[in-house]
Amino acid sequence: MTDNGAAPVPQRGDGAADRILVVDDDPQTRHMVMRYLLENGFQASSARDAREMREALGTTDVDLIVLDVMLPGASGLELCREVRQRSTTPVIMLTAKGDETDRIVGLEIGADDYLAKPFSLRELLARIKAVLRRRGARTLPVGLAAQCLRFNGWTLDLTRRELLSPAGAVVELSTGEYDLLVAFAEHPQRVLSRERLLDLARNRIAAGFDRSIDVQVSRLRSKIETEDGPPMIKTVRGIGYMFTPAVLRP
Amino acid sequence: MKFLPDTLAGRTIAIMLIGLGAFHAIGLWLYNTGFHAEIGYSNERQLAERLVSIKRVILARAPSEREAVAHSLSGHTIEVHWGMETPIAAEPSSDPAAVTLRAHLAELAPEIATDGLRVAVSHQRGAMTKRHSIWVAAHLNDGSWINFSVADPDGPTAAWYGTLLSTTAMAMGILIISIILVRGATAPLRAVTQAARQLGRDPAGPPIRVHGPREAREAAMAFNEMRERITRLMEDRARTLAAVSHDLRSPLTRMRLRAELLADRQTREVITTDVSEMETMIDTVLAFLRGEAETEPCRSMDIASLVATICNDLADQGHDVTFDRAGPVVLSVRRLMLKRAIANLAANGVKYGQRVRVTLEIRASHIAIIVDDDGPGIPSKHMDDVFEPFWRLSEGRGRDGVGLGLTVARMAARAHGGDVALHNRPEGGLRAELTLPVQRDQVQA
Repeated sequence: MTDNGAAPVPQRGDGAADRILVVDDDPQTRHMVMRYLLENGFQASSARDAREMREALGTTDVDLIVLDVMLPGASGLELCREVRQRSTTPVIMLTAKGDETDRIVGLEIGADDYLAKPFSLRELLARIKAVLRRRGARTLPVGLAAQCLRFNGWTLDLTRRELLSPAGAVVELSTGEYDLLVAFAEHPQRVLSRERLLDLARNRIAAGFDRSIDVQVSRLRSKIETEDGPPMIKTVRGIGYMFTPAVLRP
Repeated sequence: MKFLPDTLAGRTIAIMLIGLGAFHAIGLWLYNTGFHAEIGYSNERQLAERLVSIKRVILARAPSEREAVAHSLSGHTIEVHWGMETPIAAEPSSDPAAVTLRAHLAELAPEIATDGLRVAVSHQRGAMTKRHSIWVAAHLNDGSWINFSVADPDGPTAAWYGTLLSTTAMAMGILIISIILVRGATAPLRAVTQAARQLGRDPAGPPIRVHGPREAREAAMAFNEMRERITRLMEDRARTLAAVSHDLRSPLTRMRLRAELLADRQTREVITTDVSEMETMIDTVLAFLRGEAETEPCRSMDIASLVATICNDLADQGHDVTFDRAGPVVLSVRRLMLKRAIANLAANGVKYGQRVRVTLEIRASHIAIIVDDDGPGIPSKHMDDVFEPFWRLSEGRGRDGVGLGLTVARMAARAHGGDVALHNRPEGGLRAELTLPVQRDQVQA
């Protein structure tokens, strides 16, 4: 796995470390996540339930919320919606593995990312960093902005993290392939070097990029290019790749 | 009772037709017999009266005139002769018709019966009840005889086609009325059948209407109660699963986090591996228990991309897994359910074999996802056992997992209307084939 501990921790505008609020009903999980975040240069606080979370948000300046969907009493999804209505504070949800509904609903109501429980601390750290890195680039909460990219009839749904073919069929992508396609679709008709692609893709998600860019590109091609259709990803010899279709942002 | 029609309506109609038909036939027979007897009797009375009056007229004449008078009294169906002898044998006829007729005449006309009365009857061929002609001889006091011969004493028979027509009309009537009545009576039953089928696909469907005859109403009510119980059970199960899933994940999460915070790298990796394994087992067990209660909606999906992603993941983990891809294959499926099924088959392949080849075949009515490995295969006597939940080949080969991989895979395939089949390949290794039915117009090659 890629070690992300070496990447610099993004700093807030005022130069202080980012503050992460961990919302989980299990005290030991909260404690360990906080300890790990502190060790990795963040500030951290925690909340046990909805009430404590509202309190914490009211009294401290929080940069990112790690929110367990399965909270006793209030649903984490409800809390996420509540946060979204009031602020643009990024949210990473912790969901049950394989629960598609929670994942999709969470992303649709504005969570920035999700992680299935049981998760790994290193992966959580990587996602926190990726989400924080994207923070500056946006003004609207993710869930409220139009989050679809269209090219050649294909639709890349950034909210649901799904690729739909021109016929409307879901095309399964690995995490790496998805990140790579997003990097391409956000920089269309431009030659991108392998290093640049790796950087762009990593910016979104750090894990799952062990395979070389070339392998990922060829796998992606096999899923989105047909024999009779136009090539979408062009190899630029000696430099890298170019995504040829025009991309629409509705 | 294989000669009976198959449906309840058909059987009821057949029973009614046979029953009422037989009833009708017996009725007709009884009526005809009674009718004939009545006609015969009244004919005999007439005959007796004529015999008596003719006898009186003849007796009143001189013997020389008698033959001429007898001839003049003949006419239409009756012929009369007078003479000193009679052609009818002296000994009484054994023919029951003759015996009966003689008794009747004796009773109706005691006047002619006192003298030796002889009776003979000739029958129409093939019909014992129908007399062709009868002869009666009355012995006079002076030893002479009056011989009567009567042709066709019973009159013409009723037309046979009348009976046939009435029977046919009655059968048609029964048929039409029974079809209407029985179909009406069995409609509620058909509704129950349809609802039972529907229940398999959508347990949350509306209850069926309680109407029709009492048996059908009771069946409908019992069915509605059952449906409610099933729905409740499934809700309970879903709640339990959610709780178990949550309660198990919390300690697992703690364990995993704790392991990651350990300084000793080796211990950390060992524990992390164990936790991952437990996680997989819990996922599998939950998938099995969830079964058809799975609420995941069907979505149109490129199956080839799904298989490719699974194979690439395994390849990234260092396994020799290849997938020959041939363009998108779009089906409406439950993505996670199917992904788990295919992943289970592929994981079995790399667990028991070294090299796994996956192919996707498009056939006439279905697609097949074929996973070939080069492992030891499965003894043919255990081919069915391996699909049993928690069943494992004993020879230490099920070193991990809980024995639900194939069960879950088959369950998922069947939930999509397909199946999973296993064969030992002639060249060695196992072939697992997951088939999915193709809805019309869904495959894009």
